[in-house]
Amino acid sequence: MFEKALKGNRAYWIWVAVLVLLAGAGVHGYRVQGAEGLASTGMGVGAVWGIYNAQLPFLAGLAASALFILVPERLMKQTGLSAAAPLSAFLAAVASAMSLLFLAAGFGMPSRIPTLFVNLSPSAPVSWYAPALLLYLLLSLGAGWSLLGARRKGTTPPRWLRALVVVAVPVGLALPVIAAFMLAVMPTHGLWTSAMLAPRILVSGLAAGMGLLLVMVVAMRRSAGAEEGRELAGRLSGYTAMAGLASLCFVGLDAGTAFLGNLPSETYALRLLYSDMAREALPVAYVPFAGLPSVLLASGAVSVLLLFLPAVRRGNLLPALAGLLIAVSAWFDRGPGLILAGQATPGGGEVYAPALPDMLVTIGIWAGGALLLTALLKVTLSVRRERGMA
Amino acid sequence: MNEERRTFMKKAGLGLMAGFGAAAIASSPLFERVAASAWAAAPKRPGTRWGMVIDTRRCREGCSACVDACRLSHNVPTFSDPRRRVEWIHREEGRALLGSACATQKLLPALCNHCEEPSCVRSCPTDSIFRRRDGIVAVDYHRCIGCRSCMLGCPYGEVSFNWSDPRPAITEPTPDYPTRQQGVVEKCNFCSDRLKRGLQPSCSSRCPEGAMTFGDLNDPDSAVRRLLASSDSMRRKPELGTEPKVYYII
Repeated sequence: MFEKALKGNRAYWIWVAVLVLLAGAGVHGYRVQGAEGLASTGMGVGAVWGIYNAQLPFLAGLAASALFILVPERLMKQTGLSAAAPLSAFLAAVASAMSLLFLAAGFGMPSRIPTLFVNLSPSAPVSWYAPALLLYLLLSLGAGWSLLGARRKGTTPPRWLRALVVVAVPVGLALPVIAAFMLAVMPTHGLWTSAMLAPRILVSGLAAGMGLLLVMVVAMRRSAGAEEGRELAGRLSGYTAMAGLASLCFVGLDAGTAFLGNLPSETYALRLLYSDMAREALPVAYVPFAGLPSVLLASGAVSVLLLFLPAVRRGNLLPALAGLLIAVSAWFDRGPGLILAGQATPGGGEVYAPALPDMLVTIGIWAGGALLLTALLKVTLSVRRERGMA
Repeated sequence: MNEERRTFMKKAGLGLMAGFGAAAIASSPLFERVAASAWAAAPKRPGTRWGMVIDTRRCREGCSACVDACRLSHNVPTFSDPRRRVEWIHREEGRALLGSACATQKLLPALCNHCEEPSCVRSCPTDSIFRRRDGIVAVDYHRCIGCRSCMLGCPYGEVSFNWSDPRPAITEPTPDYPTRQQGVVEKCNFCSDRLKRGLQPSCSSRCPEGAMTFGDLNDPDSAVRRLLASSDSMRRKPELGTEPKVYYII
């Protein structure tokens, strides 16, 4: 079935070439980092975790979001979601694969990665992360592939797929919980020790996942002219709006607790993100981006509001754009905003900003993820077209 | 039962409850005088428990004998960039170290507290950082994958990471202790290598003023326990419940 990803028009191959180029730049960045050590990155004392670990909570939530499509579709006979089921499974698989790569990229001793599986330390939440990600990657990839295979043959998906989805539920839900708990063992970082962390990762991942699915469904409808109904897009818009609203409420709850309780560590991190303070703390080259967190938060909030308007939901491009903006906003909120600002301490000097190698590796892993997703979507699209013609 | 009698019983009952409540509060441990040594009052685990008491009254201004001794005896690299620094023991201002209750402006020695409930150990995914039977928190340099979770887990910032190859940055190498490599963490080991040879830790043995006392906290006759009994002491961030085993006498 994979050979379908190897047939495409000019635009497809240009897109693939660009992604391969970016992934190659990432490999180069990783080689520099391997030779010179993590000293070549922007990390150091005061910013022990950088942009690699900053992707992990968001991707964990994104991976878990597939359950909210797969469970109703497979276990509750919600056939209206059938077209979105393989897409969401593939999105989860890509998010898990990227998480594993980002986890590995940040290790000072990559040659000892097998140690992570051999010397498990059950009392440490991080220890559960790599095995859970690997298992979830296999489960979601298997689910998507078998859904697609059944669709190609025009048969009903195999019965064991239901069992697979049942197994995927605890594994998938564990991902945001582990991502939150591996931060909770670090007691002096106020932003990381909230019990809201796991629900926030899950809900913002859900908003992002549904938003990205919306983009994919709209894109496929345009490029394939496939029968993907307006109904599916409408349903996904509704899910995105609700999850986005819940996520915004959680942002407010955490911020309210921090400022009402005047919690020093939390309020410092939030001020660093959303006030002018970042201008002084950031390295000079990054000062123009000091307002980025506020812009992303606002754009996410406006997009959620827009998706609640029936006139917007009936549109074609606007809901997709709103879905994309919500995903980007969720990425910053549960990614760099959480990990990088969470580490900053008053009087801790300059805050973290990526240097060239870690920037390249991060772009490279994202490009690799996009490449994998592109190939999987291409196969999905071809299968759908074939069935459409038959 | 008439109405008056009813209200009387009600009020008497309330009064009685209030009295018991006050008695309970007065006898609660919140209002007890805190023992000089939190350790002696409630030893966590039996057996040897290595600890250290630093008498900062003896600590001389401008002296760095303990830091220098540590660097020499354990091949600790010296990096000029503060963002890449590696140190097992360093000097920090008293207020930054022990909080606003400590008024001293002096630079005091700060090292791994070898906590009884170490959060670095809880955050290590591969058990590379672990608590030994004698309470020393040690690092296995050959198992560490360099994920740096322990550095974020440590509330005291006492774990260092080799951001680049440490070997060229060792000023005077010694064959007594192995060097480390790029990509692993390291920290104070309470000189477990010297303890095995019957020696005291290098920092405390080289202190010209005898300000650092090392010993078994579970032994009531040890020098550390006698010192703790004689004066009030402080620990770093005791409110976190990590039970540090390095005490400071101010």
